[in-house]
Amino acid sequence: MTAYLITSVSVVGAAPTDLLIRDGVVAEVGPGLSAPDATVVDGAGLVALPGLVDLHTHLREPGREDAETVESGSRAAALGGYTAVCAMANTSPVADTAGVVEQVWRLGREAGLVDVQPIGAVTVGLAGERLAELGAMADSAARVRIFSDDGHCVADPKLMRRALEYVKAFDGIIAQHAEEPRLTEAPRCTRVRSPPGSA
Amino acid sequence: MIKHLLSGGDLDADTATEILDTAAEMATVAGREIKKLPALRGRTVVNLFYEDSTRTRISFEAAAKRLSADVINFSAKGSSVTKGESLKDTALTLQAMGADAVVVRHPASGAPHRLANWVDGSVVNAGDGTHEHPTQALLDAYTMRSRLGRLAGLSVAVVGDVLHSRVARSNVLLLTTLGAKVTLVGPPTLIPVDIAGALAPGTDVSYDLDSVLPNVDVVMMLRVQRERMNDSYFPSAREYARRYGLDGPRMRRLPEHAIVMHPGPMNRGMEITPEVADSRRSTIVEQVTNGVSVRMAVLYLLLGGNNR
Repeated sequence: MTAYLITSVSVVGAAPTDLLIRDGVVAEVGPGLSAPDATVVDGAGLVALPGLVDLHTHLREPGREDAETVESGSRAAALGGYTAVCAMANTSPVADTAGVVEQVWRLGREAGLVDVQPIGAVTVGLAGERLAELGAMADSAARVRIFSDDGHCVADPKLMRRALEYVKAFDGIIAQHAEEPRLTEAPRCTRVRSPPGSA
Repeated sequence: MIKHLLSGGDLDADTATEILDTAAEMATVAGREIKKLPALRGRTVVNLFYEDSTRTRISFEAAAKRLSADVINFSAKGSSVTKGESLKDTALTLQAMGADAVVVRHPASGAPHRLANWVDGSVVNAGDGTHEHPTQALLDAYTMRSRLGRLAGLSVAVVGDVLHSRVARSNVLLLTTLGAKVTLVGPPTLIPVDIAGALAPGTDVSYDLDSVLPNVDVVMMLRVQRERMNDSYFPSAREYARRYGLDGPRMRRLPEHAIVMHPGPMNRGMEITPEVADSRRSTIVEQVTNGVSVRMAVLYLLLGGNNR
């Protein structure tokens, strides 16, 4: 049994009070609490927040373990006050199958620091052409409910409509990067400045 | 008796029951050495098919011939239709030749309804676009009644591509009239949002086949065309089969007495596995046999065979 008593802390910006936490659950809130068995943490000047959820995280694994892993991303999230992160689908291979989302989910469980909830790709390979097996990802151990092509817009309106309809079967949602690529493809007027001293 | 059969919704319970009872009498003809009745001798039935069809056309042809009618088969391919003749002009031509009944299949929803305004004879809708296929619904109802003994109070799941299915629409209308309860099951992309309200209030919709199966007396699997995949109605044939296909383990979740139906032609391995299609629950072959009896009954009653 572990207990923490956080004193004089501002809960979500309110007036300072004491916070007693037993076994990971808020047991008591109020000024002047005492608990002899608890580890006391001085919260003066600090703000207590509920665990934050990051809906758009890049854990890079599988594929770019040199940049980030599920374990290192989980650790950073936990240190920053996050208790859950939603891992974006733009890994390599792309998280567009039950196999990949289950792998990311299992790595998150093994790291054991925050809830790692994989996001599934809407389309195969984030290519915006064919629906990925959304149902298989929803039915997998990862129980995916958020689907997104990350920075790629599902720009085909009919495909987007089908995706929105299809996920109704398992209460899924589609997170869209709302940028119609044909409107943004025209080159802008750019100028590359030469370094000082160039002739 | 009604003059045309255009929609499963045209029939009230008494008329539909009369057709099913007449079909049961017609079925006894199939067991005779000479499978023929003289009821429609001298009458002309035209099969006007603007769409490829094997079983429906042959079924209507067999039905008309067993009633001794003269049968003219008209298929749009290789006809004046390819020269640009309109449906109306074709209809008037048939009219001038003295067709007593026109059995029409057409890719445009509502074509048989138009035709009924142009000809004096009876029009039977043998499938129009993604709209209706009333004789299929009648033969399905006949099959359910002969296997399960009744229609009132039955719970029927219709599973698959409801969006494009004329079989589903006619079945919802007819079965509801006859007191059965229909649940439409499929991916949300293949079930129109307003279908229950538009066809028959009281029709349920579910996206979860597994939750529906333990509570139904009949499960009717619809044909799913693989081409739908290319239009992203579902991600892959594999995912479709996994979520909405009827396989052995799913079939075993049905009540002991429940039957499995399919209007054909089947995609074995897609919406139905061979184990299910060839099981004792399957009525797929019976449906074809019953189709002839039901179409005999429809032609007989529409052409006033019972009044002569």
